[in-house]
Amino acid sequence: MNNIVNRKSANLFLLLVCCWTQSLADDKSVDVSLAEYLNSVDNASIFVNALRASTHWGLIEKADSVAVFMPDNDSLRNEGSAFLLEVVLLKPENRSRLNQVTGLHIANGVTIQRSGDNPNAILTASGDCVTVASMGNAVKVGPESMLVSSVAVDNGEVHSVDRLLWAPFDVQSSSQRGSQVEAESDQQVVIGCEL
Amino acid sequence: MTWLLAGATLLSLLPIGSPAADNTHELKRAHLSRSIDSQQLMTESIHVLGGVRNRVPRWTGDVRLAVIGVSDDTGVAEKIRSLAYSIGLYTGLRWQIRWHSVGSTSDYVAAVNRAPAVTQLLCSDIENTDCANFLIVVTSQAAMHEITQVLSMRPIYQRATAGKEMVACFFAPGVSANFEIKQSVVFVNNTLDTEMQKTCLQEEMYQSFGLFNDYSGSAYYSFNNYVGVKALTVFDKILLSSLYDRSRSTGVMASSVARAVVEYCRGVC
Repeated sequence: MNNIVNRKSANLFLLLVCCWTQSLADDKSVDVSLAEYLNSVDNASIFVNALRASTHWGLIEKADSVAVFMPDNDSLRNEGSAFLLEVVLLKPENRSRLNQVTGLHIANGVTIQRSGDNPNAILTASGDCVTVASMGNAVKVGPESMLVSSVAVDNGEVHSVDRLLWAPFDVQSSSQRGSQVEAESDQQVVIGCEL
Repeated sequence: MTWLLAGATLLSLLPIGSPAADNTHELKRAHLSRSIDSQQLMTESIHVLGGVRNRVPRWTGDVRLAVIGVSDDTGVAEKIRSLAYSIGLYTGLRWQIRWHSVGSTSDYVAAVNRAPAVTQLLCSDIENTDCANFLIVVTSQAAMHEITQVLSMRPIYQRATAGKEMVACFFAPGVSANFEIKQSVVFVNNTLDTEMQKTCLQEEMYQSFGLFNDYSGSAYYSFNNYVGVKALTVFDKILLSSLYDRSRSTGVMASSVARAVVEYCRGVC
């Protein structure tokens, strides 16, 4: 009986060590600036080119601590959003959309950990709040994007995500009172930002 | 206000062997690894946009969605959120979602009959403002038939929902004379299984944004008249992105929107 218990304990220990080392292996730190790092990632050229064309690139170059959520080229192409970033949003008529989309991927003064406590929501450079949900070693940013890996740089951190972020929509609940269908403003759900 | 009710998809559920597998996903991957037939993609894109001479309408303002017949804790509700998120990304439109716990659509019908101006699209009762402009109703065909009548929808919807043949889902957009989509009503039959309800929602919600036509047996688009569980393709999203490129005005020719897709996909897709 003791042998069985000991074997189970040993397996549990190995599992914990495995998960811990896996978590460490996924994250790294490099001694370059955020802008230098972003410019050096070949497979993120679609997103980085869009970011450079936006009004947010100055923040990337100057800020002390910025978190960037960065989808790579393969993710964008597989998801169907590469055309949006490569063609549509680079046109002058769509520049405000470009700034909004790219701004959602930048948060000033925010640190996101792959395992540990994170804020429930963060205020992004676009002015929108984006939710953050930690589930063990997995982190979901916004409604659907999953954090894939993270790199710490001199003035911030870059988190690879598996798809583009977009602004969360307003959600209201309503119900029928008596026979009248009406909105109930007191049940409105507002996502707040924890800074 | 009078809206012309344009384009419609009536997807009848036929007794065919519809595989549960997500075959469109495989289709998408296949396309990513082989060359594109540009002529075929152009033909299909123009058709989905309404034909070569069609001036394509699109939404220009916020989308205020009201959902009836879906409880918030189902996978269907999550699917609606996900679709709104996706469409918001590709169109640049802002969404508001209101969940209406109107369990019985007869309550909704009664409310519309009593005060049509206020309740047709679930307006606030305060000065008839803040109305929804996108209505999703998941209910029985019989209940939807009642709704088509109280909302004075086009006869095609009234006849289809009154018929004996099962209607799986449809969308009914309202388009103004200047090619702006002002509203849409999406119906999904609640007797479908959950996965088919989700497929219906993705097809009807996406098509409500200007991709009005199906192309039978499409090689690229999920709007292909195939009745069965399927996923959106990358081409669905690229075409929607192209339509909502603000460098082209509302009511642009379908060929112009399609050409941008083909030119991009010739080199990259």
